[in-house]
Amino acid sequence: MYITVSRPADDGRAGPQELRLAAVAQRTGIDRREFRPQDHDYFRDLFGTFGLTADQEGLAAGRVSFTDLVAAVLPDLNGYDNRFDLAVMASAAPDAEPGFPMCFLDSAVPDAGLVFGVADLGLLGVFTALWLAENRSRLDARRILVFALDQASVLHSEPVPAHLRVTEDAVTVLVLDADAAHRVETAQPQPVPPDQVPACWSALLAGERPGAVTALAGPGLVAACGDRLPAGTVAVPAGRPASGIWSVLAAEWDGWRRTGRRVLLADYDPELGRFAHCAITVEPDPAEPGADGAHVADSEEQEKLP
Amino acid sequence: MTSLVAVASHIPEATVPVAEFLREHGIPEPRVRMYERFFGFDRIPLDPAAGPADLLVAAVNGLPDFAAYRPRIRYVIQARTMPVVAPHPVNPLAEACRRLGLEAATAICLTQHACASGLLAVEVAGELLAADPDPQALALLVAGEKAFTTAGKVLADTGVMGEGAAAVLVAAGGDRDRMLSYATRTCGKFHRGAWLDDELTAAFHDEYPALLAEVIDAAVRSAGLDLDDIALILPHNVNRMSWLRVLRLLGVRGADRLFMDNLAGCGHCFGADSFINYRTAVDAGRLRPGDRYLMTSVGLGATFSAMVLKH
Repeated sequence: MYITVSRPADDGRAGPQELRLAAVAQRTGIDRREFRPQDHDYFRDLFGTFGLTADQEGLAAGRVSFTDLVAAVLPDLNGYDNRFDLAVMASAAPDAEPGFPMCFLDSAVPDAGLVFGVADLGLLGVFTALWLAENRSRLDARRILVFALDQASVLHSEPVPAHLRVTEDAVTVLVLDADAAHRVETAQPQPVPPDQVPACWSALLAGERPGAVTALAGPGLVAACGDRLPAGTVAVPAGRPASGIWSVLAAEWDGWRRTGRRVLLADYDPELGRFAHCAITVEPDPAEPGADGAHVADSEEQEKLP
Repeated sequence: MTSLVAVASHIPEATVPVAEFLREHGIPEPRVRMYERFFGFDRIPLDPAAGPADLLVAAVNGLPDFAAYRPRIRYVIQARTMPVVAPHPVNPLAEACRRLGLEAATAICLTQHACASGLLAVEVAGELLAADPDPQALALLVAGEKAFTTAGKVLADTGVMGEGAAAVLVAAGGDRDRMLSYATRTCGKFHRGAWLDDELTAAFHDEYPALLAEVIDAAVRSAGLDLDDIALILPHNVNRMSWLRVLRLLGVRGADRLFMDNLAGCGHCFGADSFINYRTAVDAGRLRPGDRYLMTSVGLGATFSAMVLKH
């Protein structure tokens, strides 16, 4: 049970008040399952209230639900005794079933802590979840899970903007632990006019040591910058609006832990008109061979990233 | 300390008799009578012409002096029950913010606690405001949804959903309706929500009173109180009979302190019930300055929550 007592705002909270990343994992290629009869009813009735009909072809194609995605990464959490203080899920597209995957998580691990989800945040869901997690760390949430969930069933034929379209069912989970080495710096997503987005991103990069940072730009940021995307920025392709940018982190995690790396991740949601970013300092693992912390990815190396 | 600065509710004027509503959804006649006579439902407010954002905007426009508060609103938090409420990428919260002139505020939709998301939203808002450098900053909570699909309109032996909505202004300080404590527990074995099999449905109904009593007890004790100190319970509007079982477990005699005035005419308005009940109770003079009171909610999935506040 999660219990809190309200206190004065300036009482100086006891928690670590910062996030540290212990691990990041991702799963794709999860088998689709049939929609249940109640899902057919649900989407028919929901879409009917918007004057739409549920796409029978899409329903016949089956789906990977958010609960399926959370279940797929559960094996990656075993190293943490399956005990957490907080779990937050974020997505750009809604679930493929009327499900409660964070409640499922509660049933699947011995202690999930306080669980909840954030929605309707477009490309900024995971950034916002991390910002909220940092806020909750003030309340002594020391071990935190953040799930980035993408499911590809749309079930209607109305247009979906390219940056919000999901083309691959995928999940990335960030395991945050106050005792881990790798500092995560979050920020509250901020309103930025579209024409000022390239300057905003450039200013953020200017605060980093030249050549010492891997800069990952999500699909909204790439589109907003256009040909003004700073050289060296890794453009994360569209198709996984929640998990895509974090999947790059997952893919490179082992390598960056060997060498040490500063990683800057950012995206821009054009509908919300907001810019979000997050910095992660991956410390070299002293137990890893060649961990001198001096490695700096050159531009050629960065271009090899997805 | 987290406090409620203002609370407004919106109940659609149009209502349908609950019996008619239930029959339309295939509920057999003996069950219909049970919902009326034993569970306490009479009429359900529904606004077929309103979209999800309309309900939220109507509730916010009911806040006295909203225009004066608007520049101080840094966060808009929607407490959402249903897991999917619109075709992707329709965003009712963003639409509501645009119509309310709140584009500059950070808007977040909280999910997964279902109807218990409203109390979670108070807790999350309080912590965001506590960390905000501006002591005058406010958070605006909104709750209330469209009722659609039979499983979402009629909760088996629990409630009938109405389309009432609520808006709540939250501050990090202040002395009006201060939050004293919050307790919540998610019981994940019920994660299938409204679509549990028969065995788990029976288990949910069996375990529900004890689980709710447990979080109520935890919230009250964490506030340094006991149940005798609670002047009023502002509940989620479900099955009156289940409440009597909860009160019995808590050792509360009678139901005088349980505010059920809205159950018959409003139904269960998703995450908005406790706040709608607050508005009615205050307007009726049921809360006096200094009274300690309790808000409760239970969400599909299942999450049980209780919050103690001081008026």
